[in-house]
Amino acid sequence: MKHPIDYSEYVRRLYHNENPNISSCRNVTFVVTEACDLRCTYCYEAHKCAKYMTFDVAKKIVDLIFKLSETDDSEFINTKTKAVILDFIGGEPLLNIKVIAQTCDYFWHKALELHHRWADTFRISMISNGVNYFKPDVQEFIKKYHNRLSFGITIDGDKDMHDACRIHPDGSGSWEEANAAQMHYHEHYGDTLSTKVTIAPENLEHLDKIIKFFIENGYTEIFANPVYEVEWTVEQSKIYYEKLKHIADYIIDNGLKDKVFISLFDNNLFKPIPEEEQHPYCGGTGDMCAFGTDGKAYPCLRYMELSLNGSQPEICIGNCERGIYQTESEKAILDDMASVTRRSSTTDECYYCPIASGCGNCSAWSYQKHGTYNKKDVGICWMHRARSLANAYYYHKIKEDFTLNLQKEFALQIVDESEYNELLKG
Amino acid sequence: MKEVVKINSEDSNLIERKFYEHAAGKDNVAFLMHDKDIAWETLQHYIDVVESRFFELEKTKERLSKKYEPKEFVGKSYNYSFDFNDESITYEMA
Repeated sequence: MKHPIDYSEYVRRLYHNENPNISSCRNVTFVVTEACDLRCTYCYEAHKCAKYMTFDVAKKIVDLIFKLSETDDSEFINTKTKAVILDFIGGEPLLNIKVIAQTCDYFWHKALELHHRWADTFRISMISNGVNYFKPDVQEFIKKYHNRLSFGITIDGDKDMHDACRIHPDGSGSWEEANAAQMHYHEHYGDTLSTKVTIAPENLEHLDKIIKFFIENGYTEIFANPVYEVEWTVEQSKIYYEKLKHIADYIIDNGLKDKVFISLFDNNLFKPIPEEEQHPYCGGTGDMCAFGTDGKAYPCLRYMELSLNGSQPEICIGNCERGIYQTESEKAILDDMASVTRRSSTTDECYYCPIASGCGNCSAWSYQKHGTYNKKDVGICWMHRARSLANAYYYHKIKEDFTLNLQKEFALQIVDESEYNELLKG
Repeated sequence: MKEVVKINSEDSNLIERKFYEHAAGKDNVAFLMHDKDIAWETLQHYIDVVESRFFELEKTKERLSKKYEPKEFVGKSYNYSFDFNDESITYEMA
């Protein structure tokens, strides 16, 4: 399976030889609306309401990031920032397509007039539920920007699985609209069919069917991860292991090893992380910036009230008028976030974990749950352990190198001793 | 007759960048031409940029294809294509 590279990695690859000091790419998130036309059962944005970003606010954000790009006063964006990704999210972003289109036009014209490096390198990113995809102004936007646009439509699997959770306010499913939009986009703009599957307790039992559905429908890049906001149990990890084995068998039996990328299998992961690697997994501690509909700035969308739902105070780091990390309290937040390392945010057990690589977390979820982003939540542990076992199963079966580093005492809670011994052999 | 020749990372990186920048330049021109009120001066600047990037790209393609040309292809007529992920050039007799 060839690992697809994201745009940030791509820019780094292109320009690394020219200038090894470039910070290749930064994501600037515009929450263009908090409104959504679906009522998905698992959505973490519980505070959805009819707030929309105006073009005036979006324009100020664009002006701010261009200003930041001219000096080295900001760690986030500065003279070394080779590219930016304008990430439009919601709610459902396409509900505010007019402002998205105006913002992109304004950004590109400004970059061209300034002869700015971003005229060549900027990208637009958006993930939609697909409901508004066929509206004329959406189609016009996609047609105009498709060369610079990374556009995804969320589909949870086949019609039954999708419609069980992704529903309209009247309870009806949205699969037909989402699937039609995805197929149209693929047919007209020739992108690789790609999707991201969020694994939740509700769909864990169907994981193998979901992956199979996508493969059978022509998807060749399937990203998947269990949600962080769950305290996964050993019982659920046993189910996960069995489902991953089914997926592994399906890939092997159908000769799909080199045709389909599934992020759940990766033989570069499940190893200890070297001491020198201290950057935290999640970029939500200073590597990103999200602007709310009113122009207030946050380290990530997940630090907004929209996501925190009153569980913690939101963390605001400035606004589009005066900039980010300007006041003493904002500078203190930046310093505190910059001090978060892998060592500072993990227990010894986690830090020295023999399968630490690839074990993800969300810093804002840590903040929401524990009151601090400087504490890696361990709710995902059992799922990561099960995944390491399933990777041993898969890579040994296709006769590729894989060392099973998971501690025996954990492995034996998921599989029996004879299966464990088989997985060790390779 | 077909032959795949591995090229060094620096050369692969260079030619990939030239392709990328040329395509980006063409996008810029297309965007400006889409405007109702075309800014002619800006447009002319970016047309010039694309033209110069095109020549740069062609020069680099030519240079690298000669640098890695397999012996059997010397003096013959052939087509070639770059694979950036594989860091290689595929030569094929015309």
